Amino acid sequence: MQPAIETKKAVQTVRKGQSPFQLALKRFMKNKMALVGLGFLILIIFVSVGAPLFTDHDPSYSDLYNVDAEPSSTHLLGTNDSGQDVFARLLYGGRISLLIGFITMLLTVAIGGFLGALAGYYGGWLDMIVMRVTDILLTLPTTLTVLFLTAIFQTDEWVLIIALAVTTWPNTARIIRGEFLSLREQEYILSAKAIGCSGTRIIFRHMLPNTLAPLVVNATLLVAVMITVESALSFLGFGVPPTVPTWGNMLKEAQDISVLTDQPWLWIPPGLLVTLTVLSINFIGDGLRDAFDTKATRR
Amino acid sequence: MTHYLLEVQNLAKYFPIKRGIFRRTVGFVKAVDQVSFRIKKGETFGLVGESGCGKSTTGRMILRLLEPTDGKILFEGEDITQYGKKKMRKIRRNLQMIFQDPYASLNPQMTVGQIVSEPLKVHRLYDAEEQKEMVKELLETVGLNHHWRERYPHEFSGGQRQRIGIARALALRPKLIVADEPVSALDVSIQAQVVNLLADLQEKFQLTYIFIAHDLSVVKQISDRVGVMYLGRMVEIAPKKSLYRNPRHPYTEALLSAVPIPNPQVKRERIILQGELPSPANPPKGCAFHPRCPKVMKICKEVRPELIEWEEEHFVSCHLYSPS
Repeated sequence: MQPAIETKKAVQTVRKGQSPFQLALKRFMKNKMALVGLGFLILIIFVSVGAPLFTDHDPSYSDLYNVDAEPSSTHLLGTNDSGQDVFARLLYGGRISLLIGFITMLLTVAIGGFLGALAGYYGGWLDMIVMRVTDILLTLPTTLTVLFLTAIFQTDEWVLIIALAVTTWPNTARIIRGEFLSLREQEYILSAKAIGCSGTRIIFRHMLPNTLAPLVVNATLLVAVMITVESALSFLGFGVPPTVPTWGNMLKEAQDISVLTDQPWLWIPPGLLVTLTVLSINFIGDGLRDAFDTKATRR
Repeated sequence: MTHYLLEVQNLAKYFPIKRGIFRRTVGFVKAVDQVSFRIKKGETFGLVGESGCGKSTTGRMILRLLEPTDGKILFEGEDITQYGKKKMRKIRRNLQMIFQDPYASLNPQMTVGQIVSEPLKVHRLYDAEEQKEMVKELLETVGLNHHWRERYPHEFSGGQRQRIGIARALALRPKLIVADEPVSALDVSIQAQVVNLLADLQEKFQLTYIFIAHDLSVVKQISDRVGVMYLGRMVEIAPKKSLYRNPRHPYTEALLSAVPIPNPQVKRERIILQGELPSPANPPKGCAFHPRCPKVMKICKEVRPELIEWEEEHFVSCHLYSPS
């Protein structure tokens, strides 16, 4: 080998290109609001998952000598009428609220994405059935259906998660189906068929990666919706059992005029957390939508 | 049995028109209506006609990307329209396609290397190392730097993307390539490069092309024989020279008279067709061209003309040239 050729080769190296997804993430990183949202969400996840690191109190332990205590150095946000530490309940409650938000989102995206993809790709009678089922499900008011389901089955967070997923997947399925319908006519899908790709390979290798953008945006916003719905249902008494600390349950405990006026530390923190968490997730969702929504990623 | 690589017999594609809440079929768009032609090994068959005349539909049916309503497609003497999924998958190695829009025909989420090697992966040809080597070779064959294999389609120009599409079509070493308007989306300066590349590849790999286009001058450059389509029907098939020098069908005459001549001194009679292109959902009775034909006769409105061999190798479907 001659050294001259060696140097020439060194100049011409394989440069890894940036995929449309990487480009979108780069654009996302420039969006300040979305980054603030992301930072806040990570903080919330960190403090609730790592709750034992931040408080020594057991959220379900009732300190009966210290009922309705005002905020102090031992009880940062005081105690409720059962003598449970509010700060601890706030942190541990975040676990349940976030868990419900994320797991429901995952389930919804899995069911909706799968059925939407099948309906959009294969069309015909399969599409017919899936779309009619979504039509029927979409006529049912979500809250009422969940109330109904949680009334039949015993309420725990898993029943709630399943009930929420069952009622919200049709929206995701419709979005994915629509994307698939338009992608199906793209020439690169035709070319995949011409090559001899199987149906599954076309769906998973060619179509799903190209529906990732709307799917991710939809999934993010779903988390926010689920957290709100969980709070609302718990507030009404149809969500998670009242003994389990969640943000919604904490708000429910404050359904009393004297608590509202005299003990704001009981309800302002959980209310604020729900609002801020949902707000930051929505900022993330909007940021992702803006980052994905350009011509450069489309092609 | 025959020396024809591909034989298309009475190929037809009717798209149903569905209306109302019950999706009742109220009629058919006859996109392709009883088209027959034969293609010899190693030649380039140009397929021309205005938009909506069924050129692309014909091309897609040959690859079974669309299921024909009727007719036969014989590839090396065997009717592939009856092939099941498995058999069709195998035969796909011999039939490939180059697409019109270089911006839509490459998956934006895949790198060039992944795009070009996908046919090899799908058909489980060669191991990973050999595939890499193949990709390198293919990219260089089509005039691209193989160091670009880790990049994504959005980093390339239209002409470069079309080369990537050509490399992908070549990966399986097909015998027949259907090129569906491969240059019409490109700049004129790039068109020539791509057409020349296609011609070089044909020589190198003994390819047979079906070259679909609406631009007669591009077809003239690359084709050996040309088929002219009008409203889903084949109106004339002839060797290039004979067609361009001596068009028989009035429609072909009109088309050719529209090709611009670079020399401004040359004067020529321009045939301007009257009327609109009829809807393929409701084609005229008799000869489909009769409402716009300058040489229309009584019989044209009643009887559909057959495609007959008027001169050697020169087929025409027109009552002006009846065997009697």
